[in-house]
Amino acid sequence: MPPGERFELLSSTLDSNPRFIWLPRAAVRFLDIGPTQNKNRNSETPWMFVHGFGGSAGDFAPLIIPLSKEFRVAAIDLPGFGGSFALEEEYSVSAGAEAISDFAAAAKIEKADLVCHSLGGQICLSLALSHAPFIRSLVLINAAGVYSPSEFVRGISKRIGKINTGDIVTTRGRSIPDLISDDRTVLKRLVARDSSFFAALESFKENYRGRIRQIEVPTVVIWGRNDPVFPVENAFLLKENVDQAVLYVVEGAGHSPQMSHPDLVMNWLMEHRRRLDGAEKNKEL
Amino acid sequence: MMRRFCFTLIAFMGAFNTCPALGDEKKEKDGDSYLEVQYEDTVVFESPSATSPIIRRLFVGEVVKVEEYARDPDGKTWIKITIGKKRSGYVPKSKLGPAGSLPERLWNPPVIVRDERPLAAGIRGLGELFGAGLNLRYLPLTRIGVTFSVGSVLDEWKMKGTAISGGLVSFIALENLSPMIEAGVSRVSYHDGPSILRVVSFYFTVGLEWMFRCGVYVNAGITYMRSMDVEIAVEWENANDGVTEPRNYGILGDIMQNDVFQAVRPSFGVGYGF
Repeated sequence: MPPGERFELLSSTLDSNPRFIWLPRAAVRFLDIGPTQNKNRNSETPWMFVHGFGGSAGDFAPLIIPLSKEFRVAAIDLPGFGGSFALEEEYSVSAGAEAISDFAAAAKIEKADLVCHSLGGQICLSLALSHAPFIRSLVLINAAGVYSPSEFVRGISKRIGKINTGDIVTTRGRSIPDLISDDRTVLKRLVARDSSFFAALESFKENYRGRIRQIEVPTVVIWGRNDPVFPVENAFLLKENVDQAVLYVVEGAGHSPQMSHPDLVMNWLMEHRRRLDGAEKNKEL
Repeated sequence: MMRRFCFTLIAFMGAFNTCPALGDEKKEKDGDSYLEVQYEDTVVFESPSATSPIIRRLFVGEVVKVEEYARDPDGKTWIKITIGKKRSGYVPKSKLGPAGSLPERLWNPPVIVRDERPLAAGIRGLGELFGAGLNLRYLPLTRIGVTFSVGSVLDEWKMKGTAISGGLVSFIALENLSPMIEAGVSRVSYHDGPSILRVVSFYFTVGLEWMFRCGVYVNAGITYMRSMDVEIAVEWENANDGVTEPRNYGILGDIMQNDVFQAVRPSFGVGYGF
């Protein structure tokens, strides 16, 4: 399902129209929903979702829809992706991180559990390493930012089959479609030499592989075993280097297990929330 | 007789067959059983479920210790294994197979005794001291250190002067028994009546040292010395009187030839390392 349709499903299911917010550097489409009527439901610490390259908040529709019944859920389409306006300047991981920070401030989110996929994972790692105060915990799903850059380039280049005029076709594997969440408009913009997308690709050069030991927030790592873009070894790297990280591997899943195995991912998010709430209660006692 | 022979042979073969096969003893030590990882992508889960958190990955060939067996609701068999001393986890039984071999005994890392006892003090005899004295040495590096000795010059079992030396010492091997090389400078003073013979020498010692695990060491070697400076000091009164009688500087005097002092002497030492 293309990202645009996914977001429409999200919107129609949640019965809310897409809204836009002007952040200092860009106007972004966003969601900020949750239980407002039922006071028994816990909405103190919201979930915040950060999508990957070529995606949108709709990538998390199978998670956002059930979670929003019980929790406050917030998400934006990163500048230049989904329904958000383009950045006027160059794209970078730090620009994405700034957009997330600005949105958290604008939405008055003091603490959130971030769920981040692919490039969104790289953005969230950047935020965590800069000790962004609004992060309570991280859930990294097939996150970028910890790969070995040379291996990444080698892996992607192996999988590009051929290029047709006006289109890119992959004949081997699913790296490119997985990377772009099946949004072929992204490919078209690449072929049309959209400079902003080339700049976004440049952002993959930022890498936190050597710094992940500095992450101090509770972290859950969820990874599709068969990810052709960022191999599962990256998940073990995170598990082995981030203090007390919890790792789940989804057998048979590719780059986007939140789309292919939403029920499993949902269960793990709930387990994570229970662990966090339990830990906070113990601290209070 | 033939029947007796056959019965004996059959009994013998039966007994042989009931003996544990060579290698079986190795797989069970004190009631423990071990299995070996057979497949890539083997991971250890917190509980017997593929959707539970992963504790760590295992690599082909790793030998794991089995604690118990468990089944999940789907009937799949899991094995609870120990990881280190404190943690345990679950691995699908299909990922493990019989362990090919086990270590016979616990691995004891080699001990480099001089690394553990870098500071040593003891008695040093002969060599560049021409007598006996106290020695102190310190090895800041595994093989190289500094040494310092101070003692008395003995001639015919009489104390005739003082000696002091210092230099670098090196132990070639990391074992308890090691060749040693020492090089440094010594200053020996031999008193004969009102005058003193002072010899500043370069010395070089090669030898062997055995340092026991408990810290006690003994060493023996050959020292070569060659003077750098020789002087004779005379008491002021005698100097004023112009007394220039030839002096007998004992063992040092015997060695002096053409005002050059050169000697090859045995040396030994015994002491304790801290």
